[in-house]
Amino acid sequence: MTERRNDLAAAIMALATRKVPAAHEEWAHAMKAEFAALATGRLSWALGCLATSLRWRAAGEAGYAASLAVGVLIVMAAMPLVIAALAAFRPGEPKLVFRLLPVVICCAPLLAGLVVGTWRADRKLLSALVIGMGSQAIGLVMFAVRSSSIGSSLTDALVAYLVIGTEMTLMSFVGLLTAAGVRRLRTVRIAR
Amino acid sequence: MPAAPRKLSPQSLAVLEVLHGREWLYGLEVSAATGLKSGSLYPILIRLADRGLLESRWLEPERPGRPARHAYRITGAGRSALAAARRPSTTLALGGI
Repeated sequence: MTERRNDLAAAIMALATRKVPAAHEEWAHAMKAEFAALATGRLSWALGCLATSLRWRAAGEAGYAASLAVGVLIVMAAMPLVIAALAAFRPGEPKLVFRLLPVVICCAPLLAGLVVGTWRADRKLLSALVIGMGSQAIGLVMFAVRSSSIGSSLTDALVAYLVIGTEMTLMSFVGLLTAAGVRRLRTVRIAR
Repeated sequence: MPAAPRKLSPQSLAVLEVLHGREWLYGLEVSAATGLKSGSLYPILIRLADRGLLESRWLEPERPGRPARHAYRITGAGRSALAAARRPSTTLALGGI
């Protein structure tokens, strides 16, 4: 039983010191070194270290997600300008924007995924969620403020935004994976 | 006017108290003396080190085959912060007036 507890503690400690942000790497080594010197209470020490390391990681992820969300917000803020330009270009067809909407919903997250994936190879899932769901969260806020978006009730709007958000998340994930693949191919070519 | 230094938490003060007047202490020793678990101890140690109130260094292991251990010592700034925290505040001292 004690041996099994020790194995579990060692596994938790390994998890705690894995993929720690660079700024905290020295501290992760410090926690691990103390763990190696421990005779008793190894499991509770390892659990505490895991909690600390998760907080470090969460802080790092939150910072990254926030900066990406600001980027999404800036692009979303530019959308009315694009719509106005389209309306000026084709004044006879005011519905053009709505006809183009499905194309935008498919292509914009794919393009955003490609751009972000070229810039950062890691955190694909988080990036996809921020690009896909973040833009929809902005849409929901606009609905709450103006009550003039997709659907007539908040439930309708929620369902619509959830469906569109999921589709956009998937498309941006495809974009991120494509960018990662291109990066890998380029690295292999350079290595050759 | 310079910004007032951030007040230290009771746990941070407990860590400084333990380190005060002693040479290098390991994390486990600080944990045992303060009763702080690893999950609370390390964020405090990091904060204190970032504020220059304690210094750290790697010490060679006592037993061969073991990894080097991180040890901590209070700095001059740490001693001053501890002394300031021990002093009753001006507000309290003037409370009776």
